[in-house]
Amino acid sequence: MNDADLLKEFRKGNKEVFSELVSRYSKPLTMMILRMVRDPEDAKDISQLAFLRAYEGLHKFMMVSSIKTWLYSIALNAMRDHFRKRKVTLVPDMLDQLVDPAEPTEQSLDRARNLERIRKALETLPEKQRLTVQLRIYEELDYREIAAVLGGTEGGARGNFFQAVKTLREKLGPT
Amino acid sequence: MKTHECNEVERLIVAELDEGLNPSQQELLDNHLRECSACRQAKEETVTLLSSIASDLPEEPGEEFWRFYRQSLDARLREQELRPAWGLWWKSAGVLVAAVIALVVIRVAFFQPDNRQIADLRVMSPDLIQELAQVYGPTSEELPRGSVNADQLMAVVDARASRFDDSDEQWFEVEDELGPLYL
Repeated sequence: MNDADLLKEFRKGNKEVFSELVSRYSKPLTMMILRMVRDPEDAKDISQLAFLRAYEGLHKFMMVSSIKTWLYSIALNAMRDHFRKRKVTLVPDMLDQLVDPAEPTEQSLDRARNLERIRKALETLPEKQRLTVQLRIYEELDYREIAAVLGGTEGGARGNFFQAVKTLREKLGPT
Repeated sequence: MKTHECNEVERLIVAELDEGLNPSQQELLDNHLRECSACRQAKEETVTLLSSIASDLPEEPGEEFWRFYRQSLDARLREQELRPAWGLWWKSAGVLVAAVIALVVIRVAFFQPDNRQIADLRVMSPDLIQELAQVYGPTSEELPRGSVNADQLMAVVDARASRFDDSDEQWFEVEDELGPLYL
């Protein structure tokens, strides 16, 4: 059964099919959030909140975009709300977490410092540019999908990616 | 030194690493990079940057995480299923309270005493008006125009006191009369 069939069933009142949607999308959605928030508990909470909202709104969903991009946009809104409530920045200082105990210490520290610089630089980007970079690189969404998730046009999404990379490169210099 | 072409090439560098280029764009980029060391450096930096970002991935949580995720999500969904009845009740109650508050605010904001009723009262109940005048003192009609000093005010009060003396007596001399008998 594809997503459109699941949606039809759900609209007929068969709420059990929502479980199938959760099975299909819970892992990619939670991993997408985890790659942005870097904390498994936060990622779990936000991802579950996104599914709860999707459950409420699914009967109104018109399939203009795919269920995947629809869920991604709900998750990003849930993520914004989550951090607004907790009043914390998206990427806290986490040098300790970045150090890989398997690598030699100096090399590991250098890599960790470099990644921390990149994360901090990412944080300074406008939200749309930052999310575009993350959706493009981590989720491998194409620009049409990014535009569907974040709003705007495909060309706009492409422009945001270019601008973000340019800004990061200028800010970080040779990494 | 950066030229106008360098700006265009910067865009091509990102596009090449991101989605790839068509043959004519690729040729333009390759030719430019052969001549321009600044753009070659920009390309190297961009490659390093994008691969650093791509390598910065968190560890995937284990089976236990996903099992607990599913259990707690199912519990939250069941809880949400039970909630709508209460939610609807609270929403209705909220709307009702808001409507009552709005009505009260409108009534208070647009309230105007009905002067005709007061005029009718003067005609229908002169005794009541007189009694009110005794209790509350001189009206603005009885006071002289302009500023009023204490002596003028007392003169008006004394004049009224003498005028109302008889009525006061009459008031207290009302005899008890038998009213109609109700069986």
